[in-house]
Amino acid sequence: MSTKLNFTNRIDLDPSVIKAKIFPSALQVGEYEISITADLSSVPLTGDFDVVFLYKAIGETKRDEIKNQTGNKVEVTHSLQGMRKPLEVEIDVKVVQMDSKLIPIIRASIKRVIPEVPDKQSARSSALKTKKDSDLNVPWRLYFSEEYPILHVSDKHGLYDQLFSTPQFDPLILSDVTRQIFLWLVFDPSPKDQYFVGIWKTIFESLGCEQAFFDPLPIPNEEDGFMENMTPALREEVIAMSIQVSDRLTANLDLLNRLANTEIGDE
Amino acid sequence: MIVSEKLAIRCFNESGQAKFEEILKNRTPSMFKDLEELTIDASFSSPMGAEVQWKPINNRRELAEVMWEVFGDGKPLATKAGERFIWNWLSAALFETLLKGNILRALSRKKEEIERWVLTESSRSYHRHLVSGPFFVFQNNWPNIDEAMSMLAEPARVTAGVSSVLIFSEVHERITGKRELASGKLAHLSTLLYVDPATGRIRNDLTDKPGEPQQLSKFCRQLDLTIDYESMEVKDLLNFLPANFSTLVAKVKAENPQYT
Repeated sequence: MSTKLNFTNRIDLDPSVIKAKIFPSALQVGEYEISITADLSSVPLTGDFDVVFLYKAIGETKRDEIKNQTGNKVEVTHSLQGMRKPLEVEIDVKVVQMDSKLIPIIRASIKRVIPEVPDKQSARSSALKTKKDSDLNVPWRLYFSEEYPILHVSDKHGLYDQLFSTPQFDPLILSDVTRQIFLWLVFDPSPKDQYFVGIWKTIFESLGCEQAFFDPLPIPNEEDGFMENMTPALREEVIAMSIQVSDRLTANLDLLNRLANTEIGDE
Repeated sequence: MIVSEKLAIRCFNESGQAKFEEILKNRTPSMFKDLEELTIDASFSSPMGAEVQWKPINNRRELAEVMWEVFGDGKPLATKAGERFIWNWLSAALFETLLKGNILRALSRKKEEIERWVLTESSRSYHRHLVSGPFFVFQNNWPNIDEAMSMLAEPARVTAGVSSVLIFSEVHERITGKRELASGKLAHLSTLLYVDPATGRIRNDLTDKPGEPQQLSKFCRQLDLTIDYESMEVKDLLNFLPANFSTLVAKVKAENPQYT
């Protein structure tokens, strides 16, 4: 298990230390509960600490706290009653300690842990989601507005079905999609869905990209973007790697098969 | 159809949903009639076995209170509150009512974002839905609704003849659009900062001023890296705000001596 310190001195918990599962409530029909086990042995803490769980789904957040913990292992079960989309919940975990001025400092945290939900696992099993878009005037465009990549394909004049069946789809479109996703992972500082980040990092690493490309850059300037914090040489190196992984992916049909499409609704 | 009392709730199917979006995109002079026919056509929707007890609605809070009686904790459709096809059927059924029967206004809003009436699963626009949005605020902050008024209060200026439910101020947009700000202590903080307690409305002239909602959003995003601000008291959060909030903070403390 790795422990990473980020630029705020907060420890970024490794996703493997949190295990979570959503299951139907035995007490309330139609409601759900969540059980979480957190192994905090990687966090060097002395004294009491609180563990905060934020259950997040689209448009809603529910907060639970475990106060005055001392041990390394935390096991809790909480109700998700009142949440509109309990099966869509992702979890932020914070380990919090008061400093000498009684300010609650986050000592360690992790965002967007995806709990185990049997039906959900299969729905999330693809790396690239596609969407039929009847308003799109160009054949395709890649969007990242949902914190993961979505390939919008125009449905004007039945283009959607034609495009997927064309033999040029992989070399022409998927290769450029891959290149754009690589640049998004490295350059774009906005929040990202860790599930998709994990999948794409694995894919890029299997295409010869070093893990170091995805390490956070120092002192990010949120307004100007990470590009401002890169030297021209490093920027060129990233762009060259984006082309390299794109080329290798196109040449690797086995890997292409791993990018099984999941359509996420028509417009 | 202008709804005046009970409205039996239905849920669109895929075809009903598509038809609703088509009517909204096209916006023809017959759209009120088209929507009425769509909402009662059994081939486009199915009954949910619950009713909205409608009454004249003056603002987002009143709309939320009406919906709470159906979708709130322990109410008939409590476990269906996340079903967007129900909310979209309600949008269609209440469209003419919320527009006060003003077809010219409906037609002149042809380029209005469709997300105002069609609830999507996009985190970018989910909060903008005019019918479900107030209820979601209400539910996220229940029972401390008075502390969430930054997302429910009427804007500083209202247009004569237009329901304030249809007016989405910048404060609404900024606060409801950030999940971190939209409930709990931060919702309370934003209410103190941006709602005028004398009028119960959003304060005047907040845009482009020091301490405006976008600055609060950015500040909290920074704070979230190091401090668990949700566990702090509102009084401490007020004192924690940077200098660009000083005018607003002074105003809040003058209005609420308990926070000095």
